[in-house]
Amino acid sequence: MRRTANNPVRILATWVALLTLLVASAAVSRWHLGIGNLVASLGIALAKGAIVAWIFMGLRDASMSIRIAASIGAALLLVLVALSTLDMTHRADLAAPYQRPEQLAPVIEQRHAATPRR
Amino acid sequence: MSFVFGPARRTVPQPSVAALGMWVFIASEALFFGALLFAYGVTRWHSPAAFAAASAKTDFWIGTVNTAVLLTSSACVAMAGDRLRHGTSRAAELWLGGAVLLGSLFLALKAIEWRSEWTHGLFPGPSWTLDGHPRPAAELFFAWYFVSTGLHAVHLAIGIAFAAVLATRLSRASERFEHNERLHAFGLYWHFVDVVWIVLYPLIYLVAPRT
Repeated sequence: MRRTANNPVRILATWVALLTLLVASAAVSRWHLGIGNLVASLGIALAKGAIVAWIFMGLRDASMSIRIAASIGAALLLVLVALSTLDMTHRADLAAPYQRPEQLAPVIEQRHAATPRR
Repeated sequence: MSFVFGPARRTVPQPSVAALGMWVFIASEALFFGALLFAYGVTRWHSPAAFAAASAKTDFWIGTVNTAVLLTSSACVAMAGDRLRHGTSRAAELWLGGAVLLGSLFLALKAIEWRSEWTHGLFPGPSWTLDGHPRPAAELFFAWYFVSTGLHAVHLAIGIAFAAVLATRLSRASERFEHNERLHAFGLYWHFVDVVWIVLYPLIYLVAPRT
């Protein structure tokens, strides 16, 4: 069954839902929940993003070709994140260019100490 | 197969080239912002305490109000699309005007926030300190913050200009079909800019509990 496009009632309901989620996100940040703060704030942000994409951007009513285009974008983003994560987690900690000389010094000393002298 | 002729049902039109093109553009933009978000994730993973300390220096209330402003502007753009589909271009113009105003309000609040951060010495540079102590990872947070919010502001400014031009042309009834197509494609862009801010908001303002 073909769904109908957005109407004022649905738009209003979506807007209220988004603002409610925003208030929830701001309210959760007032409590110390440890890792729960990160999970809640990102979870609410993802929910808000999904609502905007589904209702306002029309993915709910979109044709298959539009959904495929959107899915390919999301899939490529996942590939980017997955491959970059793989790279970062298998890389030895190197002194980053932004670090100041006094922070680089211990790393350099360690390397010199590890190098066998002839 | 039989055909029934009669009043058209109010259904969503078939995907236009403009809408499909805009979705492909949005996919490329998602990768662009995705790289920035990944850079943020790696740095925060390595220095969570510095990120929490840096985030505490950002203006929580301006960030929260700005999020509400952008969410409302998205609803305005959705209403403009609905009104134009019903043939009331004047109402669509007004809703688009509302989106332009809200987008401009967002940029004005952002400018106030940037100015405050600049005067408090939070813009990265030589001898940068946080509360009198050099913290390179916190400086990285602010470098990322200014790049991300700056790029987002540029996207929003383009959207505001796009909306203003579109609003002035909606009254030309002879181009009604084209207006529907353009407004739909523009709406996709505007909502995407909104989604980017929705993701940026917790990463900037909600890193540490705000007590």
